[in-house]
Amino acid sequence: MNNYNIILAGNPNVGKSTIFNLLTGYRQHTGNWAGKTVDNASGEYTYNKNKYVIYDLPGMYSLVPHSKEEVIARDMVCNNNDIDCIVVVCNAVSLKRGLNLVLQILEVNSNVLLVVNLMDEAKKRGIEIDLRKLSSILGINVVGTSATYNDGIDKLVDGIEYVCKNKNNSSYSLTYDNDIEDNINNIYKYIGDVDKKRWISIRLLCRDIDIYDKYKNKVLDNYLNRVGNIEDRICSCIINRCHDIYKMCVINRYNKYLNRDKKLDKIITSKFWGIIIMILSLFLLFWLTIVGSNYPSILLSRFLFGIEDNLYNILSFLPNMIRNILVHGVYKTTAWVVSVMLPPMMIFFPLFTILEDMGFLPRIAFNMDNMFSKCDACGKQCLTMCMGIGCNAVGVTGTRIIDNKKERIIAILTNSFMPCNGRYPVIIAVISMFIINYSRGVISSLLISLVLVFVILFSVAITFVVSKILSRLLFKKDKTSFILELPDYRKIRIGHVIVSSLLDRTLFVLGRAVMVAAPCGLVLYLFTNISINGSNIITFLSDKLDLFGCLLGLDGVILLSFLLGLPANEIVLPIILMIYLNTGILTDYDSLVSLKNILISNGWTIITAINFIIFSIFHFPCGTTLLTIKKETNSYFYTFIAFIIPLFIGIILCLIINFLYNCFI
Amino acid sequence: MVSLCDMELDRVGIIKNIDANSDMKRRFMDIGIVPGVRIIRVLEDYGKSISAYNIMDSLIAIRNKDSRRILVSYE
Repeated sequence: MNNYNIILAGNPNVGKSTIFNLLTGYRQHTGNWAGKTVDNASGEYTYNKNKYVIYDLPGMYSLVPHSKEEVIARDMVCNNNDIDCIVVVCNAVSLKRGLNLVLQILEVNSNVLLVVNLMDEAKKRGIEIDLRKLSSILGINVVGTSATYNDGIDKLVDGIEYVCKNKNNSSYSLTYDNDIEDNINNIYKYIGDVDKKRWISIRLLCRDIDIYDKYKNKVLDNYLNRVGNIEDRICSCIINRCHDIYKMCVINRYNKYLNRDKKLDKIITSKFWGIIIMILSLFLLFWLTIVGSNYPSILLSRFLFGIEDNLYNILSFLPNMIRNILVHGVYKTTAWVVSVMLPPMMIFFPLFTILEDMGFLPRIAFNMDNMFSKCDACGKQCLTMCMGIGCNAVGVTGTRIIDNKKERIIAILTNSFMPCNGRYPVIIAVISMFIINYSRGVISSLLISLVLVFVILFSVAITFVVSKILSRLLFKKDKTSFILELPDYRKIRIGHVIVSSLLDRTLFVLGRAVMVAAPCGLVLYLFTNISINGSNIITFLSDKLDLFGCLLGLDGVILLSFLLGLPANEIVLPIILMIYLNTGILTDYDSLVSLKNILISNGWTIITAINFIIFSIFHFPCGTTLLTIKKETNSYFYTFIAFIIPLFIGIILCLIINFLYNCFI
Repeated sequence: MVSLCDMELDRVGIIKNIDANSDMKRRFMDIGIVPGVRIIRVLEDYGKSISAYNIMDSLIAIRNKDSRRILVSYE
């Protein structure tokens, strides 16, 4: 049994992740927009008694890195001698651009298997590719697949085996014009007989700083200065060669992007319809989530709380104190989080994946870029904001699609302004109790969705303002550029939508939420059941916070609940109820009416409700999100900034609203 | 010659010159924007700040302030 290492490389959005999933059986989230693979995923499979470890690299257009992730990807391709086979994936519809990367990779490593993916899509568009000819020109094996429908996966596995066993030594080598070739030969003198010297020489001629640092010496310096930067000419040679190879192997009957796609694009990016379609789809997304998750949420909580007593009885062999902590503390909190979070996620994530799969989201980024660029942010930020509505931690990780560091940090720091899944159910509950009278009719649910869209638009406005200020304060002179790929529209694959949204996102987010909710339940239970001077810790703390809370138009209990809700936002309201009712355990409410009565009898007014909504959106990000921010930025400074900015805004807004209310009303 | 962002919609242009700093230039070249290549401007956003181009059989959006540095001539 042998072990082989394979890497999977290719342009963004060519179906690499899908192929990775098919090979390994591991589900990595794939979607129809460039830059989906945000982490170097690895997996393995066994074929003919050999083990293959496969690494999925983030998408790249060339071997010249522009971001941290691309440096890692480049090093894997160029400097890793343990790699037995590089599988380069191209999109059959845009093969020409894929060839650009193929030719560059062949310059460093000849153990390449070329996969031309989405052959079915190309055929539909009248593009015919002669794979045999392509293979003979490039001197490597070429496999055609339609990854979406499992076609050609057998050939792919065989092809990988072949390359791993028979190292390829005679692949295509690109010849540049005479002048460039002379320069390459001359540089050999200065760098000596090193491994991959042709590629290193070419990179030196392109003034690649990483490579240059390794080989710099005075004589080389003088030579390079004499030649000047000839990167343009080198790139032109490669691109021209791509065009030549393409002409030899591809017959393109239509030679245009599909009329259907074009018509759709014109509509979606038009001034009138563009905005309407965008707002409508956002509105629909929420409305379906709100209406759809109501009933399952009730059923689920009935079920989970229903078995609480059984669980308590089953655990009768344990000492009473431990039994109480486990069941009324840990289990109850976790059950609460699950029943509140799971149903909306099971509706929101599949709907979001459908929009993503169709290729609709990059068009929204295109439409929104103007507004974002005015605030020195990136159009792609609106995608990470949308992901933030699902879960802020997911949104923060998603910012890796933004390649400019400044825009990325801005997107990370402002992501928590989007009310996530853990917060908007609570916001909806408060809206329907204090702002719109909820009577279970269609009209009132529509009105609630409308108010929610308004609340979100308000958060978006604040996001713009804060983005602008941050970019002025933190990054004074950083220039930004932005290239966004608009992928072809694709048909929705229901199976894929269900698997990826439920398995990858819902269970992932839920798993993490449970991980923080369980220990939090323990702390909460101890806090409420250990007393100091006759009152428990919670009452003691909330009394201390009461004055400040009242200044904000809230009260000490609400503030304390937000603090204790740091691990997960969804338990804020249950904690509030627990303290108000002095139950000692998280408290469910039977209906919105009884909840409203409890809140009103504890002094809630319309202004408490409004400030509660504002503070729900603008306080600190939850623990999971903060951890993710620390991981993504690798900086305590930015994590602290991410914590303090929303808190500051929330306090200021609440102070102003409360002050105005007391002055005028 | 016109700037890429000032091209008429749906007309075919040939890239002539790219005048940008080296990092941005390389990004352009990676997606196929090199002198001599055909390019079509197909979409414009309603704020007129970004356009999408058909290049090497794919659709790529570039902000107008960046694509201003690319010169093309009509075919």
